[in-house]
Amino acid sequence: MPQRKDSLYEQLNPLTTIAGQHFVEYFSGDTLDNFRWGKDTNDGTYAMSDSVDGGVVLTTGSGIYASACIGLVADTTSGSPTMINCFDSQGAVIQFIEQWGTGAGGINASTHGFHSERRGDNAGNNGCALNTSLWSTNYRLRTCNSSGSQTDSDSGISAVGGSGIATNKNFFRVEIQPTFASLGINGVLTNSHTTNLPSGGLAPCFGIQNHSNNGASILHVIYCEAWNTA
Amino acid sequence: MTFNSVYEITNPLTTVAGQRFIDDFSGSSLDSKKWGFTEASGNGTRGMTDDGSGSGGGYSMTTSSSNGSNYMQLKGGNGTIRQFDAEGCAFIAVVRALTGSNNAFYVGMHEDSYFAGDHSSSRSYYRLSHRNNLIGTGNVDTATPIDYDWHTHHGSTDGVAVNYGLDGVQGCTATYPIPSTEAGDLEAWWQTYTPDSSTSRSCAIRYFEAWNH
Repeated sequence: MPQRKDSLYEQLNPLTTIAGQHFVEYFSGDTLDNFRWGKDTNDGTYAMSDSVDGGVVLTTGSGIYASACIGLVADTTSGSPTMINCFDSQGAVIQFIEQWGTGAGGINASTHGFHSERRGDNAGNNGCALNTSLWSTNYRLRTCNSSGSQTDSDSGISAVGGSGIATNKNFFRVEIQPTFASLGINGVLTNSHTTNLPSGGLAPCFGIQNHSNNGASILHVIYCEAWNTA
Repeated sequence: MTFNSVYEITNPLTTVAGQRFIDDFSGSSLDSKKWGFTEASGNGTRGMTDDGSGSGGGYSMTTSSSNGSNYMQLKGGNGTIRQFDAEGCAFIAVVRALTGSNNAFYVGMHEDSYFAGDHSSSRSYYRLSHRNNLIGTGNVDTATPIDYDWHTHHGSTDGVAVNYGLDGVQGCTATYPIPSTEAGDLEAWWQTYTPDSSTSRSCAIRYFEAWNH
């Protein structure tokens, strides 16, 4: 067991190590920190949750392919902007706690983890993120390479609950290395794959995209921590 | 040996942690994304403390002398974002009264029920103040005499009892009336107020952490 140290730095790194980029977000307080997070303001809404363990709440519009997403780039009204990509596709980890409110519209895709672009559809170039959608009953890990080719691997853990998406709270861990990407759920490594891995820089991104126009979808993000391992 | 992540310092990876709130009160200005500010009346002054070796840094608030019932307060949710469980949360805060007399502050969890460390120059000891908004208010003394130095204030509730202490020493316990889910959940809170007459009061804070059990 690690011993108590004089500094937070030393809890995570020996003084002989030059630490890489490290990012921690608790999503607690009055408003979302827009010095860190920018939003897609086209049709999503964003607010701190007035509920115990509620974090920040992302809510899509009710239309088909309506989305809501946050990432490390300023607010924009459209598009999938390139983020401030300070995490390394050759070695980085992102772990987060989140909880779906509803997926009334049927989730077409969702981006929870690293990507080079802020987007809710988990497509585009250079990404490594959890993907929860109506197209799979299980949580899946998706990577996108530099030309947009994708690989999905299945966790074997069901993302379905009740009449739609599971609304229990989970702790996810996504890791990218030069030769593989992996997903862990609640402390257990569930799946990995080795193809269509991203290159270049990445950044934390949380986004959701509806599939139909049956209503808004809601995601709570309660914690996020990312760091470089390379 | 080191931890792999900040998360693992306080939680095993097999645990889905609850909400956490941390502020170190360091930098050019108060983090207004975390804290909402309100003032009862007058125009007090506040800001980051440019005096790390003297008063000890952090963020200070000085009430106006124009009104004897004035208070200034920070709430980590601006009175509307209550993410901490009224029956299962805790806080740690490093706070002091800055000037050597006529000071008062609360530090703890609030909205509108509360449990908080309570300092006032008009009393002999630090105490725990506690309230259930549907029932009423109470308080109980610790054995720590009122002074004007930095202390680490720590409190917690499990819905059955509230515990409060300073500098790692358990100070006192209250069981009634205390915050409940029915009366509403809580947010981080620090308040400087005038306990007696129309004189400016200064208090400072340099750390606040809250979490759900």
